[in-house]
Amino acid sequence: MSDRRLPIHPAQRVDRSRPLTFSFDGKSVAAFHGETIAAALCAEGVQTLSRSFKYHRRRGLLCAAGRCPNCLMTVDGVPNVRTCTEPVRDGAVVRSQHAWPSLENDVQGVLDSFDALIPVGFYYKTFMQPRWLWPTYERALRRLAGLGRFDPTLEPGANSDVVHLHTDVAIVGGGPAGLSAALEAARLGADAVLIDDQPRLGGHLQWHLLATEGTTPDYQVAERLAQRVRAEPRIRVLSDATAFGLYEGRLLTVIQRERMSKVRADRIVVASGGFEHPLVFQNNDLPGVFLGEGIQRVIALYGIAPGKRAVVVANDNRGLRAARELKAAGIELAAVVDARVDSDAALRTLGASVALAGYTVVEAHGSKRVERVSLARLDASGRPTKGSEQTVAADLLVLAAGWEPNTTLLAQESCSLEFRGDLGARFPTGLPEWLSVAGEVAGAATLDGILRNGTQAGLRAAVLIGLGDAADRAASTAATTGLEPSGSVRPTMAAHSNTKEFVCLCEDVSTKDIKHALQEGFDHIQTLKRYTTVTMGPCQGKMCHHTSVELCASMTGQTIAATGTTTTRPPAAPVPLGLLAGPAHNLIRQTPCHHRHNESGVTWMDMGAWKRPLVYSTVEAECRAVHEHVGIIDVGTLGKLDVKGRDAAAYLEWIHPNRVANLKPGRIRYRVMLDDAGIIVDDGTIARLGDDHFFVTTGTGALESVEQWLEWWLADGARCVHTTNITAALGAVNVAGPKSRELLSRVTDLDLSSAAVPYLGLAQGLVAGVPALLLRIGFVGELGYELHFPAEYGDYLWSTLLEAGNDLGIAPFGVEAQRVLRLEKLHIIPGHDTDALSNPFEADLGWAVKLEKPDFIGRAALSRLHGQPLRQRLVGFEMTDGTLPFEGDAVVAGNAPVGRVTSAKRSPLLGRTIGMAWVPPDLAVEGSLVHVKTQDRVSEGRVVLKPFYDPEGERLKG
Amino acid sequence: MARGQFQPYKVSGAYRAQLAQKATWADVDGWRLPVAFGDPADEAARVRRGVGVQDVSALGKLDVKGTAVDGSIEECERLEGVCAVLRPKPGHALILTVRQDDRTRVAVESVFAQAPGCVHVTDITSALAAFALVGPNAADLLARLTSIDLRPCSLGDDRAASCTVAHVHATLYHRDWGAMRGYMLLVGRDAAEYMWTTIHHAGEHLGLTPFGTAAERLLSETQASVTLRAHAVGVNAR
Repeated sequence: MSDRRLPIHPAQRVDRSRPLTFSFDGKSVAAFHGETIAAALCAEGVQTLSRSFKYHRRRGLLCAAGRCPNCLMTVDGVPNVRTCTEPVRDGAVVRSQHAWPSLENDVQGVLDSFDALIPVGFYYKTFMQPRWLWPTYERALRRLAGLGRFDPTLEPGANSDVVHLHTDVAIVGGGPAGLSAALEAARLGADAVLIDDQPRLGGHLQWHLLATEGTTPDYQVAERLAQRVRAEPRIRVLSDATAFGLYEGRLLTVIQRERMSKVRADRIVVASGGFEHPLVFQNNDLPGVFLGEGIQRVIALYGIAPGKRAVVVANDNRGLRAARELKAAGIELAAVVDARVDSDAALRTLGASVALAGYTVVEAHGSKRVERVSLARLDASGRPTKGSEQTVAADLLVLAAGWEPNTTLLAQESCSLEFRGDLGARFPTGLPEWLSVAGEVAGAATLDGILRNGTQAGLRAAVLIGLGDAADRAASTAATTGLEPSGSVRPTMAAHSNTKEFVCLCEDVSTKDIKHALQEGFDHIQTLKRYTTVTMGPCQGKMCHHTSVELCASMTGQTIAATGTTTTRPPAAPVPLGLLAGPAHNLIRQTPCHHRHNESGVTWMDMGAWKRPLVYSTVEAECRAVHEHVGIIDVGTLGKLDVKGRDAAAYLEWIHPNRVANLKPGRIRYRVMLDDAGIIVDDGTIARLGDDHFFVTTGTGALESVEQWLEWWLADGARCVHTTNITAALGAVNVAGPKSRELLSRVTDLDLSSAAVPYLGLAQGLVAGVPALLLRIGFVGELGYELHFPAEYGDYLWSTLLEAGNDLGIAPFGVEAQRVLRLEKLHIIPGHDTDALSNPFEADLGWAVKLEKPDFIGRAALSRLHGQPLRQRLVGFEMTDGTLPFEGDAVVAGNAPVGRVTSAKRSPLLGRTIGMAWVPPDLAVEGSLVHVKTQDRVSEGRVVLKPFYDPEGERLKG
Repeated sequence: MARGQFQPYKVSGAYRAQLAQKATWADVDGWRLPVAFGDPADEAARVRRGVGVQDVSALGKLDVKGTAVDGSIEECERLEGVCAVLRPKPGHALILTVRQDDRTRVAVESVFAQAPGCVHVTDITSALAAFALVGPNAADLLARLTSIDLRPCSLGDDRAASCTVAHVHATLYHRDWGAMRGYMLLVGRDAAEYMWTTIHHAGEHLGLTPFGTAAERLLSETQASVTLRAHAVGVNAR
C-alpha cells in the first residue's frame, strides 16, 4: 500500500476491505471503495492532474471540494468530471484532458514561456491579418480552445428524472447550522427537506478530527447531529444533492446525480457555510498547493497525506486549526505563518519549525510541484517587505487564509450583499421574510455560535408558518445570535502585478492581466470580468470572484463595497442540459382510429402534437379513388365544440360575420371566424342540432384559440351560453366519392338520399351499430359525409367501413391527397393560404360577410374596408409550363415581388400544376398571366377564379 | 355485410398499449376492459407494496355547467350510480358515474329541473381517459409528473385539482382506497396512450404494475374502491 495512506480512522469514507481498480491514461490504478478518483491518484503519488487552459501549466489537487478546475478529467467518455468528488467505479476509464501527447509531457506547455505575447485580450487584437487566413486561424483556435472533448457517439443518460417536492421548510446545507435548523423546525412540527451536497451529513465538521471546542472531536459532533436528523421522520434528507438555483416563488432546484428535484417551500433557510479561495502570489498554482479545508478533507475523509512537510499560511483561527490537523496526521510543519501580528502565542503552540506572525507567502518554487516556499513580513499597509524574505523547503503549501461565506444562491435571488469589514467578507442583508440564513454564511464563526444560529433560524422558520407556542414566538424575534468577528487579516492586493500570480485558475488570468485591463479602461468590475474572463470559467467565480473584486478595488483606489460584484445567475453548479430538459415526455396526440392506419401502410406526419396520416399508397392513387370510387380520411383532429344555451344562437350570430341564428335545426353552415380587426382566424362548420344546441368544428390546431375566444366573450356572464370541448370525445371520418352513399347505405338504416339529407344537411343514427352524427359537407369536391362518433368506437368503425367498402374500391387517403383535392376546389386553409393581414374581402370570402347584420366581431373594421380598393386578392392559378412552385415563392412583375404563392400541388386528375396565390387586384382577372419566381427562374401561370374541378358543384351536391 | 352482424366494441385510448402488455380482456357494457396483465393476486400484492395503475376510462362522465349548478349539485352525490362529483370551478361540475347510461344523465338533469337558472349536461364519457393510481408510492409517482402540492394538507382525500400532468392538462382527484393512497387522473382521450406509457416510465423504479378488474376485486375485498362510494369534492390547484 502507498506510504501516503494513513491509518484507518472512523471519520474516513473509505472501505479498505473493498479494493477497486480503474485506469488513468492507460495505466491501472489501485483504489478502494469510497475514494474519489483524485484521492486515489493522490495516494499513488500522481501530482499533476491537469494542464491549465491557456498556458498549459501543471495543476494539482487544490480544493478537493469540486469547486476549482484543477482536477477535471474525462471519465468513461464524459468530459470535465470533477474527480475530487467523483467516486471511483471499478473498471472506470479515466483520461486527462487538454494535454498532448501526455499530461506529463504536454508540448503546449511551451506557451507558458510566451505569456508576454499572449496577454489577456490578445485575441481581440491579433489574427486579423491577412483576412483571408481567418478560416485557418479559426480552425486552429477551435482546436486549442475548450476543455475536454465531447464524444457524439456517447448515449445520453436515459434516466434523467424530475421530482417535485413540497415542504414547510427547506434547508440548504447539511452542516451543523443546517442540521440544527432542521431539528428545531421539526421539533415545532414542521416538515423539512434538508439538502446537502455531501454524501454524509455534517458539513465541514466531518473533516475536523480534533475538537474545536470542548473535548468531543468535531466529526463526532457532526455524527451525533446527523443521527438525530436521520431518526426524525419529519426531515427528508437529500444527500449528494446540490441546490443550484433559487427562483421566484420559493422554488429551489436541486441536482442529485441523474435527478433534478424542484423543491417548493413555505420558508427557506440557507446554511451553505463558506469556502476558501487561493491567495495570490508567484506560482500559486503549482501542484502541492492546497486550500486548508481541501487538505483536511483529503486527510480525514480519504486517509491520505499528500506530502511530508508543509508550510501553512493562515490569517485567522481556521488556519491555525488546519495546522493542528496536519500535525495530528503526522505531517511535519516546516513553517506556519499568520498575517495577524499578534498571533505569536498561538503560533508557538503548534510546534512548527518556523512560526512567523505578521507574515505571508510571496512565492512557491518548484518545477513540477512545490519544493520551496518564500515568506515575507507584511508592513503596516499590508504589503510584503522587501528583504524580509525567508525560504523554507516543503512539499506542501497549505493556504488557509482566504475564507468567504457561500452566498451564491442568495445572490441569485438578488439579496443584498454587504461587505462587513469586521467580519472580513460580504454577508447577506435585507432578506425577504420567507428566506433566512444560518451558520457561517450568516457570520457565525465558532462551533457554538454556528449551532445557536442554526437553531434560531429553524425556530424562526417554523414560527413564521404558524407553529410553536407563545414562548417560541417570543424567542424567534430575539436578536440574531452567534455572529462573531473573524479577526482575519488579509494582505493588501495593491502590490501584486505579475504574470505568474494567478487570480483565475480556470482562465489563467494573472494579476498583471488585471492591471493591464484596468489600464486599458475596463475599470468597472463588470467590464473587467468580460474583458479578462475572470470568474467565467468552470469554477463560476468561486475561486476568484473575491480576489478579482479586491484587486479591482485596490488598483482603482475604491473601497470593496463601492467596487461591487458581478451578477450571479443560476446554475450555481454545473448541470447537464439533459437533466434540465427532464425525461423525454413527448406528447403525441392520437385520433381514435390511429392504430388502424398502421395496418394500411401509412406514412405519418406531425401536425403539432397530432400524428396524421400523410399518405398510404400514392397521392395519385388516393386522389383517383376519391374521384372514381370512395375514399375515407381520418379527420379526428378537427376541433369540435358543443355549444348550448338559451343565447347560443344569438351568440354565435354575433361571433361570426355570416348568419347563424336563422340556421334551421338539422342544417349546417360554413363558418369563418374573424378577430376584431376583421382578420380571418379560422373556418369550419356550424351544425344546428336543436334550438339551443350547436355543434361547431374548427381547424386542426385552432381549437384551443377558438375555445378561448368563445370563452373570452362570455366572461361577463351575461349570456346563457356554455361551450364544451368534445374534440377528444369524438372520432371523425370523411367518406367521399361517388360511391360514398352506397357504402354508407350498407351500414346504416338512415335514409341518405338527397331528399332526406341534402347538401349541408345532417342526420343522426346508428352507423354499423355505432351512434353517429352525419354531416353532408364536402371539402374534397365529391359527394361526401363527415361522420362523428364516440371515440371509443374508432378502432372498430374504421375497420368496419373499410371492410364494407372493399368491393367498392374504397381506399384510405391522407392529408397530402386531401390537399390536392381541396385545391382543385379552391377551398382555402386559414393560416396556410391566409395570414395575419388577410381579410375576407381579399380572400374571396366577401359572400360570407353580412354587413347588414347589426353587429358582429370585426364589423367595424370591415365596414371601413368595404368599398375600398383591395390591396391584394387570393386567386387560383395553373402553371402553363408544368413547373411546380414552392409554397412561399414570389409572384413577380419584372423583378419586383408583387405577391406570393400559398399553395401549389400537381393534380393527377387535371394533369397540371395548380395552386393559390396572393396577387395585385389588377391581376385577379380570369386568364391573366402571372409570373412566379421559383428556383432562380421565372415561370408562367394563368389566373383561375373558379374551382378547377366541378365548378358548379354538381358532383358535390348530387 | 348484414346489418344484424354489427358487433361494435368500445376501447379506451390506451387499448393498444395494454394489448402490447398482454392484457386479458372482458366485455363489460360493450367496453373491452383489461381483466389482468398476469396473475391478479400478484398484481394486487404489487399494488399494496408499490403502486398500481388501472385504466378506468369506462366510467361515465357528465359535464354539468350553468347558473343553477352550485345550488343543487350536492343532491347529485346521492343519486344511484354516481361515484363522485368534482367541482373544478363555480358553475361547473364533473360527475363520475359507475357506467355511462342515459338513466343517470336523466336523473342528473331532473335534479336541476326545478332549480332557478339554467343547467346544461353533456356526456363527455368519450372525451376523457381515466386512470386510477393506487398504492403507497402513488404520490411519489405523481410527484414525477406534476408540480402541484400533493400533500394531504393541500390535496386531501376526496378533493380534486385542475393541473398539468406530464405537460398535459388534467384533473387530478385524490380518492384513497381505504388505507391505501389513491388518485384518479383524467386527461383528454387523445393523450391516453401517451399518459399510460408516461406513467409506466415514471413508475419504473417505484414498483409500478398495471392491474385489471380481477386485481381490483381482490383489493376491494379489503379496501373500498372508487366504484363503491360517492363523495363531494373539489378545489382548484394553486
